[in-house]
Amino acid sequence: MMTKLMTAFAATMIALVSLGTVVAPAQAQEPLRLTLRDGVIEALPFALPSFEAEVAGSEQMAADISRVIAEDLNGTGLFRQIQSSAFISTPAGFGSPIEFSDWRAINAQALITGAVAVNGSQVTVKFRLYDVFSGAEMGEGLQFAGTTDGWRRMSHKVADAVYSRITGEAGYFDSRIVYVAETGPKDDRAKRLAIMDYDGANVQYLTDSSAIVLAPRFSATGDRVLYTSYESGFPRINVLDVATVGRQQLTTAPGDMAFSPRFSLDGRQVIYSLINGGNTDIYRTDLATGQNTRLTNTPAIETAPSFSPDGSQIVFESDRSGTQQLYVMSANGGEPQRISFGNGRYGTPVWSPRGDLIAFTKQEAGRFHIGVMRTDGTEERLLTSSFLDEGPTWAPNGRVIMFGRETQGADGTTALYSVDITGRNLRRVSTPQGGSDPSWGPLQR
Amino acid sequence: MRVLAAVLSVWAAGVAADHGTEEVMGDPNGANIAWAENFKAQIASCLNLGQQTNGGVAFVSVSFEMTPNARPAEYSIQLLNPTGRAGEAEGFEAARRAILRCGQPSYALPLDLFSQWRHVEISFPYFVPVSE
Repeated sequence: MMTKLMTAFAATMIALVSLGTVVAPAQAQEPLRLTLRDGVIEALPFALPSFEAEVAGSEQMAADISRVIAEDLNGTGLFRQIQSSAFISTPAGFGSPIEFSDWRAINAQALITGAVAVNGSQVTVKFRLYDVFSGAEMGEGLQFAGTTDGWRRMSHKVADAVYSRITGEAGYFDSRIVYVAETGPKDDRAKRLAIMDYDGANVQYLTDSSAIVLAPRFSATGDRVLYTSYESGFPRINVLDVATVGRQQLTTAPGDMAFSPRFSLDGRQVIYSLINGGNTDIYRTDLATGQNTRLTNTPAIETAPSFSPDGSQIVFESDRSGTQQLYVMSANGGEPQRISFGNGRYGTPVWSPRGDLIAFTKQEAGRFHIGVMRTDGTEERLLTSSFLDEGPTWAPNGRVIMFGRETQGADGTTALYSVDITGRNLRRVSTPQGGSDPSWGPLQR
Repeated sequence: MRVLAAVLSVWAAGVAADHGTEEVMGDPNGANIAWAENFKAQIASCLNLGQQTNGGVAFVSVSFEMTPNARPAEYSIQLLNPTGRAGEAEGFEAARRAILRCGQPSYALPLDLFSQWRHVEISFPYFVPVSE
């Protein structure tokens, strides 16, 4: 084997020399210059020894916080936790010198250490992040303080900091989702608004199930939610204050039905669809002045508007071409530009918080997909495929999309799923009941 | 891969001995010499690019020194010509991890040709994050 390899290599070198391409004198002072064209795309292995309990009685919370941080990071698909059974050693204490060779030996590339102290209802969490192969700390240690009932948020904050330091992008763990919680059989399903942490924890119900509710949408600051309610028997838009759970109906332009609302980034305006005289168009209402502006005016059905992050444009769906397609227009209305041209029907477009992509639902050949495309309609990518996937919403960092999935048949169930924008890491989000129509809120303050 | 590297190392040592100098067949800086290609492949196998973004690909130039036993000198790793571009710092950290991680216990390099790879400069790709 070795002889064959040597022969082949020698023959190659002789061929290269005969071509006169590669004989160069050695220049000892000149660096060897190389260019890599690729690497590997794999989950980064990290070690997270259970955080130290600095105060007696903090042991359980230290373990719980460590677990949530690890779950956050593992859940991204970008990181892979190394099981503690593989550890050669553990830090003697928070801030103690790190035996990097022990962590290199198990191929940990990042090491997270931390400590937790519970004093009455107060809890303090601190952590350090190390680059194992550099033997250096990545950034400075951080400390979070709060009440014990906020321990999950502090865990998410630590995970966000780790994520950000390693990837260079903002995290999304300390964020919440508002969605439609669904119970009961498919033909008699009770729906109510619910809010939860991004990972499905801490579910709280915002409405009862006395009236059908649809399509909740967070404001950019996460303090209010718009949704469509059938309390009056017809779809109307309500505004809900998340802190007080107080709600009131939005005064829209005059019409028969109003639905599919979204806030502008500054929260001062709402765009929505309005059916008036059998025609469905897109309108905008200024919340301070009550002024209504009609943004589209065609016989077609125009709905599902979504602002660009800079507020200058709106993407929406319309069947003005004969099939349901996506269009982009100025936020003040005007002639829209069609951006989807593939086979099938496109709907529920949502502009990425980064402004670079638009997520959408696509129906084609009896299957539903969640996809993304650039804002000019190019580079369409379908990320999922199922009997019914719909209603995408973006994580605050524009890296992950959550959506609703319904299974086929009379016993079909609904659930929330997430997928990253490369189509990897499809995951079901744990909710106590079925769920649909998620809206991902901002990072909490 | 490492078997091949060892074979090439022995062969390259033989070439150097035959010539009686440290001349090397091939142009390291053209990256078309076998041991240099193999060196690249070793480091690339440890370069974790993370997750692809829509921001495209950029490069960071990193220089470092090697020890005679083909290990990277950790203290010497530095970013050349920093631009401050988004993702550059993380790209450099990924490059540093790759250099150190795959340099353990050592790279498969022709030890006789130490002067050829004592000083190294490598351009590493990284995915540019899309601006917030």
